[in-house]
Amino acid sequence: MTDDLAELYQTTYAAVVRFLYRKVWDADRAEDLAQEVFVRAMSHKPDKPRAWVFAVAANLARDEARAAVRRKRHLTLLKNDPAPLSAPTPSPEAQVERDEKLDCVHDALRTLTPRDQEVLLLWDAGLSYPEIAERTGLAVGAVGTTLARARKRLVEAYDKQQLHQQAARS
Amino acid sequence: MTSSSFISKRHVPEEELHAYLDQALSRSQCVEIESHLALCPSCREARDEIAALRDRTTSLLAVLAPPVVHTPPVAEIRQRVRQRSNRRQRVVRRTAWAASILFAVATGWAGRQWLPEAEGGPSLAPSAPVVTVARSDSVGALDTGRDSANQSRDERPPAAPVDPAPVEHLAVAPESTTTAPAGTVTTADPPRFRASLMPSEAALKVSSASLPSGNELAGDGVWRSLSWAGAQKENANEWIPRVEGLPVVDVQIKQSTAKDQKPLMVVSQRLASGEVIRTVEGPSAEVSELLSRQSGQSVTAPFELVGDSATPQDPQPRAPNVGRILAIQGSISLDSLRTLLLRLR
Repeated sequence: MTDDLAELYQTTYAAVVRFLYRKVWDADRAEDLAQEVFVRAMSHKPDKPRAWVFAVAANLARDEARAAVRRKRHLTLLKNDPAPLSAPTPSPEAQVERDEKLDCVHDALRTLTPRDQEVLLLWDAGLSYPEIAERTGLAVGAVGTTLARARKRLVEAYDKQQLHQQAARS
Repeated sequence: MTSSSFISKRHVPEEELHAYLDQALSRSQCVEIESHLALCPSCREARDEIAALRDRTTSLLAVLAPPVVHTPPVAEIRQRVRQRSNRRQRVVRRTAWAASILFAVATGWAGRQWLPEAEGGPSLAPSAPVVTVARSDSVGALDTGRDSANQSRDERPPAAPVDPAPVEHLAVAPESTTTAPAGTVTTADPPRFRASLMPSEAALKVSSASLPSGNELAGDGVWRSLSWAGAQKENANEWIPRVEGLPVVDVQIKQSTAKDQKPLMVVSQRLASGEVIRTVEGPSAEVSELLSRQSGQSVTAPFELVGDSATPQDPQPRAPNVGRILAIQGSISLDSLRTLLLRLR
């Protein structure tokens, strides 16, 4: 393995975990997959490692989602599936608050089209416009347009969710 | 985002402000936008809104993250890469082994298909099945020493060097003609090397080939006939393949043309029934050539040479063993040959 890949690993691992988490919604699984991504990267030694890493991460997440659908189909009786977004935090109130916000953002993100989601998440993971363009097949010029739309929609959808929740509470 | 479009009078489109704030524009594009912004309050306002939207998006997405992410040490990932490449090498080795089997089978088949049986001339033993045992490359070039050790541990049956452990894989149905022959001759010297059958690949493969008769061991090079004692004396440091418990009729040796290369050996042994079986060990090409010259059948399985503990100065099979194969011939059933194969020492 080259030192470049080791450095990329150090600087990008957390971003890859986040990127995967937003697709598989399971922290442990996201970490497993992120490690798998870097194991593959270090075996393949790709030319453009950063874009490659996220491309492989996206593929693994997609496979994971398909497998999850299959599992659901086969295990319809499985009711004790833990809430996917729960995460341990110190105080119960803080956790409830965090979970609510997380649910809202999660739902807001799901209102976006798959392409808008992908571009937004890739941007947030630290990819450049050309890297996002290469990954998604968009023209570089279209990445800004897509991001503009995705950001606006995410915030709008989130605000709507918040309004719903407030209405539900009162 | 074309640079010519940034005339100071024209307002900057929203997506260009996103790209601008995302630092995705060229220096000259930035200069154009900044010169417009300096003169246009509405575009400055739009820029500030977009900057806020951008920050808000980032902070919202930040919620969508595992609470804590610890980056494992790089060494851990490297370790997994190594393990995986080792596994891949094992697969390659197994594939190579399977290819050698196919080669032996195909060679035999071709021999039967295309060469008339008469071409082999009169045989001492009638046309008979042959058991070919291909070496596993325990000292394969791909391996580091450590991997090699793992490899052996993985694939060798625990008692393999002494005991024909893989019997259960081979589904052998021995015939009475081959078991416990009378007049057994054993030698005082323990064998220096032993053939250890690899356990993982189940079936011995059958191919069509048989050896030419003793007088027909043609090809280049000089053949010599020796008694078992003579052969042992002459090849004190070599492993001479033979089926344990059967009297040795003779040992035929063809010295290789290449210096330092172990010779091609044909060890003839007599069964209780009077049939003669022969064990051939030599460079795979030469053995294959021998096999291809006549019709018949062969059964193949991998083996590896294990240095006997009595010879610590030679802990590993020497390089000349690489690329050699082992064959048994006899005019008996394949099942019997399989049984004999397991008794090879």
